[in-house]
Amino acid sequence: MWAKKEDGTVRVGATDMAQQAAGSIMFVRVMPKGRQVESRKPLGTIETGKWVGPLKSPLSGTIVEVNEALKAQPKLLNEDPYGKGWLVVLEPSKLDDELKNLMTDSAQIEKFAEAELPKLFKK
Amino acid sequence: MWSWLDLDAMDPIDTQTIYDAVATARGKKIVGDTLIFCYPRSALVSVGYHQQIEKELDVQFCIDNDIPFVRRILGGGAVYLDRGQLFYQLIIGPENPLLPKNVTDAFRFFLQAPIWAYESLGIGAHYRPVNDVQVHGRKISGNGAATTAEGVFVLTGNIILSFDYERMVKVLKVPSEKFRDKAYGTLMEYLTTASRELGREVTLDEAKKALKNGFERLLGEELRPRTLTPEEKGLMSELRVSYLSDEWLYMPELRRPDIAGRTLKIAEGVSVVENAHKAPGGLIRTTVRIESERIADALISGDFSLFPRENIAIIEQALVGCPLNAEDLLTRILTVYSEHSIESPGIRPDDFALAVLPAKPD
Repeated sequence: MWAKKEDGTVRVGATDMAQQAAGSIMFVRVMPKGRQVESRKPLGTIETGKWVGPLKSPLSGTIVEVNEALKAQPKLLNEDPYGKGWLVVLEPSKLDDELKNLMTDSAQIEKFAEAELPKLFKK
Repeated sequence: MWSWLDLDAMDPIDTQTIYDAVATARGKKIVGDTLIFCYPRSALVSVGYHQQIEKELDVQFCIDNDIPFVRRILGGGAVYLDRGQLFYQLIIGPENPLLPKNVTDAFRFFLQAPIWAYESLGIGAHYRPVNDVQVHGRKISGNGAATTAEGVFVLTGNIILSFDYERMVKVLKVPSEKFRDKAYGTLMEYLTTASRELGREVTLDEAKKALKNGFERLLGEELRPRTLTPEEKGLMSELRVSYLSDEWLYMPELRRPDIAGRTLKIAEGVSVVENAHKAPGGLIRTTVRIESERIADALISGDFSLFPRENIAIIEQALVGCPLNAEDLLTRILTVYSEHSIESPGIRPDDFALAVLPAKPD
């Protein structure tokens, strides 16, 4: 999952790595506006090829906006995970505390991806 | 260390709450990795987690015929379940090294057990990605999966001993009776059962023995029978209440804009699709069967005029075998138009192509 700070809110989505590991996405369900979510707890679910999995929120907060376009076009999550495939906008409740738990350094992220990718896609 | 819940006939709703309850208990580390065998005492319909019930099911038919319907936590489409099917439900924690990291690998690995079970019954079955088990190109086991918030992987599927094809198409909401007929024919053709393959009745006991052996071979250990823990039983009664609630059954956040047409996936690569296309000369309705991204069969109807009228059959025939792309469709339709001097006021040849094209699987 990724999180991007905007004006007092945080936009949240699934990473490219996550969408690739999941495969072709048939359904996306996110919780409705106004719902409170906790970090590392599901803010929604995705379905690909008969498998349903959780979308875990990177931060705690209240959902203030949901990407309605994903209802009709779930594949936006595959095609543009960092753009049109965003999931929700959160009003974070513990941003300063929880930001420390997220990777923000690109070198660190790269290292993480290099370690995880072979596990996901081993043949 | 795997434990085995050998539960036989259960209340229909319980066949769905049980794996949710055991997965929750597994997530809380109250129980270990568990394999469940069960079947419903009487029929039920189960819809996929993200489906909209009233778009998938003839709810009134289900109510009139005492067939309960339920939303499961797993993916896939609406299915009719009864005691002609033996269910396996596998619950495995994220720490178990046997669990593959991606879903396709997980299906491929765990579905070896039902494949070996069919083999020992004398049926040569094989894996068909992503989640089917097939015999001679026909589906003989349907499977779905989920990962819970705690990372517990749940896979359920069935050994199909016999199947009530007629009931299955009756519980489905269909856009037309033509669609229902087509769905029935396609199910008969692409879904088979152990009894059909062997030409004799296969009993639940036989299937259970074969399936147990298959899983023991796969997991490399003997399954240790256990009974439900009090926590699991408690979770099941809680889940039963929420499974029957309107919030769960009709899940408002799933409401989607209406997408034209209706697609019924029968097996991997096989589906029946209905579409409508509005042309200036009238509405064209099409019902097509798709196999391996080609049209296997087509039905065209509508309120448009075509001269001579019997040319509808000729256009339908021309579509058979055609790949689902605009260019091939149009070439074929233009060819029959010129060969048979077809006239269709207000309908252009490409309208027929447009009426079929949304059938393209993504």
